[in-house]
Amino acid sequence: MYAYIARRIVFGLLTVIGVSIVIFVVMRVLPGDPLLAVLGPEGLQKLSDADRAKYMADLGLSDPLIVQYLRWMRDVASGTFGTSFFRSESVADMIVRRGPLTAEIALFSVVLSWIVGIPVALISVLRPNSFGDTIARFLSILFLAVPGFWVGMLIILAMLFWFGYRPPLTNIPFWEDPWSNLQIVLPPAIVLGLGQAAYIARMARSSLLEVIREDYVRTARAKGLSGRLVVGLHALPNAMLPVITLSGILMGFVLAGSVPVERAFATPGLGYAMFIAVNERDIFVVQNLVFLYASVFVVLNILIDLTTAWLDPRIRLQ
Amino acid sequence: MPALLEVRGLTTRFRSSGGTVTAVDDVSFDVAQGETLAIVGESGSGKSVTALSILRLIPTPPGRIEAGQVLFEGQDLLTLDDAGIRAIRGSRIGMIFQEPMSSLNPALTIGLQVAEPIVEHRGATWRDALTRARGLLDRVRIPDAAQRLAAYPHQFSGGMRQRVMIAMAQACEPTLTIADEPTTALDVTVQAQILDLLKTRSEETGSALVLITHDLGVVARYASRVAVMYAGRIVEIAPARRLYRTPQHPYTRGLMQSVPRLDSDTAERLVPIEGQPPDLGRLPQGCAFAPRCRVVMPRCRTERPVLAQIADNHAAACFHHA
Repeated sequence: MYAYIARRIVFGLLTVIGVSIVIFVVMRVLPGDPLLAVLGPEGLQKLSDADRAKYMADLGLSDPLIVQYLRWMRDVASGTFGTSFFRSESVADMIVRRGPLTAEIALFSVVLSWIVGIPVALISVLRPNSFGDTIARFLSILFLAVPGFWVGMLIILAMLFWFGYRPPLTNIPFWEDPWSNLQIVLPPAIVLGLGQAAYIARMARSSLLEVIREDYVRTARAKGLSGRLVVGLHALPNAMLPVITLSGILMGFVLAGSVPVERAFATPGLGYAMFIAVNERDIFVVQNLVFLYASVFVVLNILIDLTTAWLDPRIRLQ
Repeated sequence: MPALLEVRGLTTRFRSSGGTVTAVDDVSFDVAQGETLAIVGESGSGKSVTALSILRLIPTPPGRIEAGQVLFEGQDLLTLDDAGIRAIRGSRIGMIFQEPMSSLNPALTIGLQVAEPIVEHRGATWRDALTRARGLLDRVRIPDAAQRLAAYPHQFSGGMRQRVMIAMAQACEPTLTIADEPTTALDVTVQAQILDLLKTRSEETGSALVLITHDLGVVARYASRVAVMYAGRIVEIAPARRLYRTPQHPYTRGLMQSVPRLDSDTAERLVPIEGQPPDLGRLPQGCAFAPRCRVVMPRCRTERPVLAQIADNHAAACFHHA
């Protein structure tokens, strides 16, 4: 087990380094002059070559790429992540200020996807091809097909018309005012959660249907256990392993989804910050946020792999 | 002695895209208290489906028990409600399956799985049930039973797992144990140990045994009576000795001749049964064995023989004895 953990961590580190190189290269290759965003089109035209060189040097953009990359890695390692072109705030400060909101949205959405997805799968499995199963399958395909931001818009409109929903537009931490915080966080979490729940339900359904045909489930029934115990104790734990793994992969869906969904809800989280930074071609911010997202994804998936390995006694006891 | 289990006209069908298959066709037999009945047949003869039908463990759909009665201690198991059949399963009828590798839950400890029926049926606390489980593992001769309670199935060999299955099936001291090819997946060297154990444990707990097998050697050694199945029907049923000495159905005779005997003086040639086991979806109109039978008569191809008494406790389904 320890060898397995060590191997996963080493591979995770290598992945993160690889990701950082890809992000760095992509950010340099993408079209768009960073000074255009700072000075505007007219400012850029009036800019003399000497001033231009000075600005570029100030931003550290005229150094050789390898130096720029190493400097970035140094900033990452030191925890400051460099600074925005426009804002005095360092990217690290921005992450600390806006990150909790996005993390909350991600966490709630994952919890919601399980709360909704697993019971839906259980309905399907306990009564296959019944009316409930048909409805469950229809809804899960519907939510698979519909993009999150569109569901988000529907939710905003519905809540606005029926409940006069007006979320606070400023960033309110949970511990200061839980109710206002939840008003900000829950709607985007619901949008992202329902999208994931559709995947979770489908995966849990097929995984459960597979496990229920296993010999050991028949053994459990031959022992005279109730249907609830047979499914709950003998089938569900074995069927959950692929679902947990899928949940980790869906973190990518949550992180990528946080950009349009936070934009749709005007949530002052990291996803919205990313949206603004891309618009402003604030490449330091974009580069760091993409790197952060990628790292979070890698770390979470390592944790999930270790969890599923631990849950399986065949691996745990090796 | 009154019969412990009376199976009457049991018929189980499976529906598939290719049509309906009658896996068990009008099967009737009795099991007396404490006796060992072997059900013998090739794969596909319906012997496992018969065993699963008794406890209503047929996957439904596609399977369905369409007719018959399974009277256990005078009660028809087929008409019981869900709670009723659950109170029988694992408590008064224990079941042992073919594949010890896949029949134990890989995520749960051996102790939990053996103790589970005791908690379920006897209302014991987990602590008491685990103590009893340790005793049960001792009695199926698993060394270090106390430590093994916390082990997982993957840490056991196939033979050990089948011992665990025996301990589990007989945890509540059932009056009937059904063993569905309990040694098919095991090494030959382990098979005899497991069957001896199964037999001893059944005698200790006073449990009757229905032993499903395709191995006539097993039958000779462990069963007091034998039912031979072919294409979903019982074609012959008799006390084991009688069946070996005077098999009546051509299929039974064929089976006997295709098994090597170590105790005969003359070097007899083995005689295989010609042809293939029948396709249950397309059975011939008459006797299902007719296409492979050496003594087939014209009548066999149009009419289906029924199981008829030919001597005390001996019945065969063949026109040669009608």
